[in-house]
Amino acid sequence: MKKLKILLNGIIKENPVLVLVLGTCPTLAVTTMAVNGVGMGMAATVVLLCSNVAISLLKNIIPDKVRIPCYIVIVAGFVTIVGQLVKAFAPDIDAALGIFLPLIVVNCIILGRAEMFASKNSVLDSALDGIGMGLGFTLALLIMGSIREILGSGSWFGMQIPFITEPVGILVLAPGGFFVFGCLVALVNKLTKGKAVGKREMGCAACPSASFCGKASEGGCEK
Amino acid sequence: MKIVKDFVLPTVVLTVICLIVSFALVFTNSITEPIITERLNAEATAARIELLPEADTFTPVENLENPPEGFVDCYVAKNGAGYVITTKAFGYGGEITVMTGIKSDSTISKVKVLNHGETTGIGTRVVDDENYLSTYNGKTGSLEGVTGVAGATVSSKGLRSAVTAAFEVYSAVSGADVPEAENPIDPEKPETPPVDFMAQLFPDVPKGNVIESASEEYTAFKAGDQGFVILSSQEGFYSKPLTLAVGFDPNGSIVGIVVTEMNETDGVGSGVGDAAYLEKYVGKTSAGDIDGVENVSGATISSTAFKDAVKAAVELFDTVKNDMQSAIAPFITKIYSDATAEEVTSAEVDGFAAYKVGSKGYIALGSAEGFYSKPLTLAVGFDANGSISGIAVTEMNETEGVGSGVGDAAYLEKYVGKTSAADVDGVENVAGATISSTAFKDALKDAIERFGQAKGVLGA
Repeated sequence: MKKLKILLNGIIKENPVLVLVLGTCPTLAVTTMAVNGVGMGMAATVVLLCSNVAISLLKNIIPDKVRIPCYIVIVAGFVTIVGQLVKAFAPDIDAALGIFLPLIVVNCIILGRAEMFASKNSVLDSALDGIGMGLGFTLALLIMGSIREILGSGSWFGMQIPFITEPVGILVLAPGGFFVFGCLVALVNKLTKGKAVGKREMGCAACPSASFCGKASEGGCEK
Repeated sequence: MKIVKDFVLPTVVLTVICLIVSFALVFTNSITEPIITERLNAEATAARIELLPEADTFTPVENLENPPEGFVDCYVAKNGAGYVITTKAFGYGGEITVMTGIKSDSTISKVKVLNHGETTGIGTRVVDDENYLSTYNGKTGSLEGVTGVAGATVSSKGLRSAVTAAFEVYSAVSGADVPEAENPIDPEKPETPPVDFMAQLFPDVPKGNVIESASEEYTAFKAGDQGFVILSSQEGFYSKPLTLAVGFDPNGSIVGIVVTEMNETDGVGSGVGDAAYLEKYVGKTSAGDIDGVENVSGATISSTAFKDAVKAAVELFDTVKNDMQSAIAPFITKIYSDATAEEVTSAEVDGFAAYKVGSKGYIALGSAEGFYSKPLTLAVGFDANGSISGIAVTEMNETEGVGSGVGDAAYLEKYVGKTSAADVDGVENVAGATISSTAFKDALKDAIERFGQAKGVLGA
C-alpha cells in the first residue's frame, strides 16, 4: 500500500535525523536524557502533522518566490499555538518539556519536509508523511537518548541501572553526542546497504551543502 | 502582468498568510492567557503560603520608594502574619531569585530559591540543599549564626545578599527596626595590618597617653593634650568603604589625614590617598573649607566620598572634644579609682607618659619584650615614697591561658608595696610562664626606674 509506505518511510528508510541529517541541533541537545528525547519527539510530531497538512492545503496558493517565509510563518504559528495550549491545559507536560517546546520552531525537519514533500503532495499523503517523519524522529531521539543516558549517566528514564558503576561521563557532553550520532548514522547506512535515499529524490533545498554547491543552480547533483 | 505575478502576488499572499496566522494567535492567546495567568498566580500564592503557613491571602505591596537593588516583589499577608518578599542577587552563575518569608516578629519563617544558575555539586549545595536553606529559618535581620558552605562562597554570599535585601524591603514597608546583617561571609579576605595612624598624625604623643573613646556614635582618640583623631568612613567608587583618620588640634583645625582603608581604582581614585593631596587639607576647619579644596582630577566620585568623610569628622569634632576633654586614660582610673581629669598632670619621660594624680600618687609606664617578642607594657602606680600602689597592664600579647596569667588581679596584687628591683625579683613567676613572667618583671623594673625621673619632672 502506497499510503503505508509513506508512513513507514520516515521511520528507517528516510529517517529525518539519521538519513536525511535534518534537525541535528535539537537531537544533540535533547538526547542527554531519554525522557527529554521522547518529549521533544512527540511535540515535534504534532507540529509536523499540523504544518504538513496546512502547507499541503496552501500549496497552490503560495507563490514560489515567497514560499520559505510563508512556511516559516505557518510553522512558527503552529508551534506558538501548541505551546500556549499546552501551557494552559497541560501544565505538567509544559513543565516536563520546558524550553524544548519553543525550540521546535528551529527544527529543520519541519521546514525540510514542508519543502520536500508537503508542497508537492496531497493533503492525506502529507499528513501521513508528517506522522511517519515524526515517529522516525522520536525513535531516533529515543535510541540516541537511551544510549547516552545509560552509558553516560548510568540510568534510563531516571531509573538507576544497577550494574553500571562507572558511567562514561563524556557521552552526556557534546563530544560524546557527536560520537554516538556518527555511530548511529553509520549503523543505519549499513542496515540499508547505503541505498537509503537516492540523491535525486532529495532535491537541492534539503541538501545541507546547497549554499556552496556549484551544482545547485543546475538543479541537482546527478540528473 | 509579470509585475503582478512576480512582485504583487507574492507580497499579497505572504501578507495575507501573516494576517491569518496573527489572528489565530490572538484568538488562542485570548483563550489561554487568563488560564495561564491564573495558574501562575495560584502557584505563586501556593509558594507564599508554603513560606508563611499562617497567612490567609496575600496582597501585593505597591509603590515602594527606592527599592533596594534586586527587588522583585513584596506581598503582605492580610491577617498580619508577615511578608513574603522576592529578591534577586548575583551568585556564581548568574542571578539567584529568592523568596523570603518574614513573620510579624521580624524573623525568617523560611527561604525558598525560585531560580538559579549555580554549578551542580558546588553552588547547588547552597541553593538546592533544603538542610542548608533551613539554617536561615528563625534568623533575624542580623543573620547571626548563618555560615557559608565551604567551597561555595560566592553562591553563599549571593543567597545571603538576597535575604539581606529582603530585610531591607521588610523594614521599609513594615517600619519595624531590623538589626543590620553583620559578619558577612568572608573567609578569603586577606589580613591587612592595621594602619598606625596615631604615630603618623601625632608622633610626639607618648605611649600611654592615647585614649580611645567609648562612644557608639563615633570612634575617636584623644592624643594627650595635643589634639584628637576622629575616624570617618564613606562609600567610595565601588560602594566599598573609604576610611580616614582625621587628626585635629585642640581648636579643631586639621593637622593631618591618614587613609586607613581604601578600595578606589588604582591610579585614578587612589589619588585621594597621595601625600600631596592630603596636605591640602591641613589647617582647614569647616565644611566650607573642605569643599573649597579641589577634587583629584578624573576621580570625582572618589574625591567626593573623601570629602564627605572629612566633613563628617569635622562635624563630630565639637562633640568629641566635649566628650573627651576630661577623659583620662583608663589605666589611671584602674590604679586610682577616684582620679579626676583636673588633678592629673602629665609629662614625657623617656618617650613614655608619666602622670601625677593630685596627691594620690604617680604613674610611670614600663615596657619589655614578651614571649613573642611583642611589647608587654605596664602602667605602675607609685605613692610619694616610691612603693607600688597598683599595676595595670596596658598592652600584652602573651599566650592566652599561659603567659596571660601575668595580667591576673591576684598576680598583680603580689607586687603592691614593693619598691625596688630586688623586691620585684623576689616575687615568684607565674607557673609555666617563665618568659612572660620575666618580661613582666623587666617592664616593672623599667617603670620603677622611670618613676625616679618622673617624680623629678612632675614635682613632689
